[in-house]
Amino acid sequence: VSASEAPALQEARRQVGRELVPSKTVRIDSWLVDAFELATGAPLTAGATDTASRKVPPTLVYHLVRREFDITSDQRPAPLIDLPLGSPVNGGIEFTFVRPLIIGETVRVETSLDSVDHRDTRRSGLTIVVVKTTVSDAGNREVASYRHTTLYRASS
Amino acid sequence: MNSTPSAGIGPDSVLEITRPPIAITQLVMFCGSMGIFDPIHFSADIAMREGFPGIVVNGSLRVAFLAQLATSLLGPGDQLTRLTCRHRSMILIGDSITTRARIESISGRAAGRQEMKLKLWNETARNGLADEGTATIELASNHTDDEKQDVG
Repeated sequence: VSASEAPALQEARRQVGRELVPSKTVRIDSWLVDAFELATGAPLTAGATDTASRKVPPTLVYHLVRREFDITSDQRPAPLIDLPLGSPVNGGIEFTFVRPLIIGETVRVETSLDSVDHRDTRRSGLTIVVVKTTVSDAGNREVASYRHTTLYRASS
Repeated sequence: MNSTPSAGIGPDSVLEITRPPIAITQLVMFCGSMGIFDPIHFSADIAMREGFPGIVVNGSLRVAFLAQLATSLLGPGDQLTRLTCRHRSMILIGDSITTRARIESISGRAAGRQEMKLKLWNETARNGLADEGTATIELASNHTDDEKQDVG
């Protein structure tokens, strides 16, 4: 860990467990499912009157966290972890689905910093940041969760 | 979108979906409806200013493509319980994505409900392997033995 990055890494570690996006409740409306299906080119079930038989695409859960944006700016949005850890690279995602979402239900979405690890590499170092999002139903039972990994390569 | 038929599939069967080249309309629709407002996904000027060779296709859209193929295998009562994805190379606007899945295993009955494990990946002609992932599908216990035989 370079001298300049050590404080950032320490600060990131201190933030483990912190809520990164204010938790919110989201209703799984049919328009959201329609929009997802249309935009992904999935077989459309839009307009089906029997919503109980409609399947909510599983990875729609990824899009339930809605962040605030400055609509007067064309800048890239600030990262969830705003610390000088190096250049970020998408390290992948792991979803766990307990049960399918149901159109019309309301779920609670919570996103927090799950872990921060550092690995020394031959060139410099790699900081591995995992953010966990949990989706729970009205009975506070977990419906789905996902862990998103971002790799920060330290500048050599 | 063209997909291979799923009838008669078994272990090591490879299924695929080929899609037309990703268009700006699809990305704008996806970003707008899903609340993704990083302009590298819809502005070539901003993407190139940020050092990308062109408009960048969202990682979450690519994951959705993997999930789409995995869920196309679900029968009544089956459930996708796990999905993973790692991105291996960049996908840009205009790339055609082919999504493939291979059935890796179907677990025995000893553990109760059966599980089907899949390997999934996205490829482009320009860069080859773009994403790779896995999926686990819990098979409904009310499948008949004949139906289970059909999937391995």
